[in-house]
Amino acid sequence: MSLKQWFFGSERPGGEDSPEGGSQSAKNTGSSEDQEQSQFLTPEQLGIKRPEDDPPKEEKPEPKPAGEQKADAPKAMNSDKPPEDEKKPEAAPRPPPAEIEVEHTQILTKEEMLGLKSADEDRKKEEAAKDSSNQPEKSDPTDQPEKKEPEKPAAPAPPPAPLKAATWKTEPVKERWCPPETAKEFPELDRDDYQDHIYVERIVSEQWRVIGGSRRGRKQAFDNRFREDAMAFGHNDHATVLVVADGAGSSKYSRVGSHVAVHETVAHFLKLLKEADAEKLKDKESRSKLLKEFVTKAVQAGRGKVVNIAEKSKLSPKEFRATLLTVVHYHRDGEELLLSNQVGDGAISLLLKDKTLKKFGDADSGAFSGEVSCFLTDSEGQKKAETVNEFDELDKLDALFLCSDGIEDAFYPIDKKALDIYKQWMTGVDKPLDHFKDQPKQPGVFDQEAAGWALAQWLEFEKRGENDDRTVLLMHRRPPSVQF
Amino acid sequence: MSIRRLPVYILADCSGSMNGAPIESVKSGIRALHSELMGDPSAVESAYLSVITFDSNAQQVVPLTEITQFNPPDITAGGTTAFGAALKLLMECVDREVRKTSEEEKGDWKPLIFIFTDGAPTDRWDENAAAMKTNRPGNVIAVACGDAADPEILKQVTETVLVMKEMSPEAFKQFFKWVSASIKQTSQKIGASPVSPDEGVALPPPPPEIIIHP
Repeated sequence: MSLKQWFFGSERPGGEDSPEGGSQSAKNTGSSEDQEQSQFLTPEQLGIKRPEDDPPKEEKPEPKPAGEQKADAPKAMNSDKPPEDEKKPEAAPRPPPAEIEVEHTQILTKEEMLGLKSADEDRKKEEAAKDSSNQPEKSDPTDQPEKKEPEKPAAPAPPPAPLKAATWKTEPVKERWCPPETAKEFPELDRDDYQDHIYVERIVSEQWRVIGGSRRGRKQAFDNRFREDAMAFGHNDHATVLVVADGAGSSKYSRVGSHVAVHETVAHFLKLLKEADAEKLKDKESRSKLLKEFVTKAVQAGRGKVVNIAEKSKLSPKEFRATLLTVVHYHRDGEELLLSNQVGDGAISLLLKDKTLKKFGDADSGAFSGEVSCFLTDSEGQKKAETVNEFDELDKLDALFLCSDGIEDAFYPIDKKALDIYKQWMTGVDKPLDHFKDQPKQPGVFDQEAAGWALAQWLEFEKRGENDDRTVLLMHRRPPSVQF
Repeated sequence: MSIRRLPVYILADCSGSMNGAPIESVKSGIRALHSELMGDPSAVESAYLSVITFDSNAQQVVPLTEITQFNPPDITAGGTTAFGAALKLLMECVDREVRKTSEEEKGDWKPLIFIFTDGAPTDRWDENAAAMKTNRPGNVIAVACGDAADPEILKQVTETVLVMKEMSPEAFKQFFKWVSASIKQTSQKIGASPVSPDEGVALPPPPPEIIIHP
């Protein structure tokens, strides 16, 4: 079974099963979020409300070319200027104490908008700006006066109130997914099937179903970056292995690190299992010991492959930093066993039948948000792989999930808030949770046949300040016995 | 549960020597900074601004406020340079206003702190500077403006010291432009966590008016 087969579940309705050939997936790649959605779309049928900031995304690319001509620095910021400009004139009617610096402020802003990358560029652009300010929304009056006619009555900018806050938009990524240094050595990694959002689902055994979704963050989309989270799972007759990784925002090629790590960990685990001594797996005692060893080896193999790729590409492993969460479910002769390992942040949560939650990993995070002390590719990563947690009261377990910090942070502390998550998955969403700006309405994820798609919809929730990539990989008992 | 913020503190020297064009430049710089940040969705959602000024005393003229609610303060220049008091006040404010990760709550992002001064301190500052170095309340960037400011003193507060030789309106303008680029860059980075805590922040290169003090 190839990596892709694990990754792209065969039961998904989205039609992305054949990443190379599927016309659906081809359309998907690089498309704006909107198109993406409209593709698996049945939102109307389901009464799902679309996130409000999506529509503008489609229009954004248009103003952009203008920004490019003008400023020659098509940075993310640049392209969001036109919309802001439009708004400022609106603000003009409320002219409070229109005084000199106020006017200046407005001017400064305009100039800044034209490129704040470097002061040098800026100067050149100031001239350029004047020429190109004949754009419709560009308020010429403010651009030209330039410290000369300070007492302009329009004085558009004064107090902050009239300023309209900017919103998100989606930018396609311009570079190749795989860095050229790596593509030379590992042509198989020079993939063109990258997608902003993916989802999977598969029934893995009589009682269990796996559902997963990974969504490119609004921040990454705004910043012309790829989704840096990755997920993969695989299974055989006895075992299911689930892996989620979050590529570090500060590492250039963390998308490659996370992708390679999840797939290699899954592949290696299943390989070890295949080659394992069957007798040892039959005995309960030796089974647990052996499987723990396999988890460690699999995580180390995932790490090893990323480090190797970095070295062969003559790049620092630091550029490929990622976290890694691994869960293995093993069942044999009516006995079940659950193992986990965690390197970095994110969370693994278990839902027990009595509706209690259990945290099932060793999260690692610093005093300030977003800090992780050890990534998989760091040298301590090798050691972190050795801590394997075990849970054997599987008769009490109803569902579990692994998630990246894009989910964990939005539902912090997850050892409590995970209950809200499970509840929504089981009973659906009628209104957003407290502190959430919006959540698409939907029936319960677990109730739906197209559960992967439903989970992808759920991942669309909007919460202020939470715009990172989001990834959830879950496994639930069919039918669930917990009642909310 | 509350949102996680990127706290940004601006410590502005408002001593007598700043009177006239410099203080006006600072005021319009802060306004420009604010309107620039309004144009960036990451900053709008995450960044919170506070302004602390110091002359003969130190005062927090704007408490930590979200971008959309921020009102650029009216500040005046006069008096001496209570640099030590400003550092002390800064640490108190960070202590009070910035949330650390706890069982119940995810902490704020690591604060960004910009300090600029145009003269030598006129109060006891060394203890507070030392405390800043040990406590590390955030990523601190200090700028020595003009000839009278001593970058070596700022070096006692933080590793990251810049020198702005000229105190022209243009230089101030470039400075604030750079500050807003730094805030934007940081607020975008934080959205794509995780990061390693030892990395510090990567800021955009400063404009030619401002040089990095080794």
